[in-house]
Amino acid sequence: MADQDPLESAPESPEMDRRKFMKVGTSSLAVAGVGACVFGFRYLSPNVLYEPSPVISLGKPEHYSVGSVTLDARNGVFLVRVPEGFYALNAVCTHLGCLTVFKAETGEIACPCHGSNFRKDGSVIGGPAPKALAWLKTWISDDGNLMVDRSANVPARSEYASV
Amino acid sequence: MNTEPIVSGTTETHLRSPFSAILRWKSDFQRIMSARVLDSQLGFRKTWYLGALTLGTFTIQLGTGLLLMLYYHPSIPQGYADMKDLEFVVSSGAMLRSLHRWSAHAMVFLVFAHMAKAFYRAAYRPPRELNWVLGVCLMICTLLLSYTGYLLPWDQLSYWGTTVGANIMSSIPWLGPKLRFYMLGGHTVNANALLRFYVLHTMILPMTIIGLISIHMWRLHKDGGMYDVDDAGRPILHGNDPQKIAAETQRLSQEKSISYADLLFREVTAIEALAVVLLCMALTWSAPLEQLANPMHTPNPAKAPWYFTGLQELLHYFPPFVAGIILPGLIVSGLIFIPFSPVFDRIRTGSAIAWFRSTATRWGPGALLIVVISVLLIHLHAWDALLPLWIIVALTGFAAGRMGTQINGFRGWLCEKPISFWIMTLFLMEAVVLTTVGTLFRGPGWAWVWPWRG
Repeated sequence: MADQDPLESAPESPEMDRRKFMKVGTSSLAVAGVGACVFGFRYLSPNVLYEPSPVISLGKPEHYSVGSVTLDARNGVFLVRVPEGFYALNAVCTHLGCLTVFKAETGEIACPCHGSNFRKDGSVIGGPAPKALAWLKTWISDDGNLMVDRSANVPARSEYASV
Repeated sequence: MNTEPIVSGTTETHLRSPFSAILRWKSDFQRIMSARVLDSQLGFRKTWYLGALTLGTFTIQLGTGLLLMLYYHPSIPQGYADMKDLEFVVSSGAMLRSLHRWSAHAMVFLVFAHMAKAFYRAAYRPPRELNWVLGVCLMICTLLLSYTGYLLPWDQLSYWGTTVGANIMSSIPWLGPKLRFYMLGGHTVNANALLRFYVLHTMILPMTIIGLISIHMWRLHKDGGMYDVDDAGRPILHGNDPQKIAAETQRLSQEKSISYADLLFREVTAIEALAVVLLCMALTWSAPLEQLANPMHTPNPAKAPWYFTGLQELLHYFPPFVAGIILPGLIVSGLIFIPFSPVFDRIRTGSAIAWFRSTATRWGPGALLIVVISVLLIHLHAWDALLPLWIIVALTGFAAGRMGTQINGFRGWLCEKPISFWIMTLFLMEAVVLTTVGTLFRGPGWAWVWPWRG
């Protein structure tokens, strides 16, 4: 008897036997775990971002000649002037997010990463890009500046900003 | 419960001094390796000491990484300035950074080599299936370590490599953009992303790897040390079970059964030799550092490090979701299921050629599958992915050509190979060819270039 485990010989209270204790303990741990996961997940998603505004100004329309394709690399936007007016394209490749460039000698937009190329209206000529470059909402502000909202896509060839 | 003393004289429990405690600890520590190793298994030939060498590079990574952390601030653009400081101002900084880089490359290579070697030796067989799966997890962690480490210098390669990786993530239907947001802590690769990658690279992944390696080593020990087969192809068990050791020793009485210390000595020597080689590399070639990350300019071509150029080559042919998620997912699950699939048990399946020849109908589906894959790859102009497939087809055809007659040499050797050999060899050849093409034969716009022309 002397070497018997004291826990083994302890009388068990009828309200809380070991099996019940384990059950309550495991389930409360599971609840706490799920709660921790939910809050942990929310913690990982920042609520405030210090990223630049999606609305950008590209200056006065008279700086751009008809037929020109201008890359604003800082904001990742092409501004194109055609006889109908202005439109802006998202310059970020639809394949994997590299910044495309306009090749004046071929009149095409090309991605340096995986070799996609696009026409001036954003449509795909070749390469792995799955979609055309998106047209972005473009307008002329009250003070006469060209404005582009990078977060707002518009259907291709649907609207042109004009003076 | 195994209480057999491993080294006599270290288990005298009546000595109650700190020294005896250390001795006892030492004898426990020695159990990391098998107590007995057969003479025939000591040599370089069996394992090429690849596991030990991988562990060696990981140790170098821990040491150099810890030292680099003393000078590195995970912020923009300070992180890049710290690289320049390490390169030009900090004593031995350039050497440490280069050693960390070259040792990382070596670790990735050794992990691949270790897995290939273990596969061809069939060391994934029960009871080692858990250790094989742990090995796959360690490979994934190693690749993640490389990927997260690449962002930290905040140079052009870092920025665009991470951008492409994050966009592969967001190609997952429905869940992708959310996952990308969690991974980067924002919409673009910026300060939040750098900090998250830093924490992953310096804390979470190394801790995970240390834990996994511990289990990997413990299992290796419990499963009887190195996997080996006798001349008849039967697995040799030689763990710490004294009865098994006795039986093995008797059966292989012509062989000497020696202590683990000889193996430890050889492996440590191999690690030291590798460390010297890496150190010489670090002193000769400094780790590349491109210009400060510039979101306004994508370098052309924007190339990943060599172990990801095979993936980049696939991205050129397939949509990101297929090349970046589906194919790697298939490869990883394929690797995990190797020990659980009868196809991969060499003893049970026997020769692939004989299996195919035994019933004529077995040729049909196999040939159809190869034709379908070939047509798809031709349609995509993926000639480099097609090449290994056709080499394998040619080799099987060559081997099957005059089956039935007694064939020796290379042809006979091929005839005996099981299906698992062909699958794995095709996979390895694809990996080598795609990586070579992606690394050497791709230029601006991912167009084909000849490396010797400019």
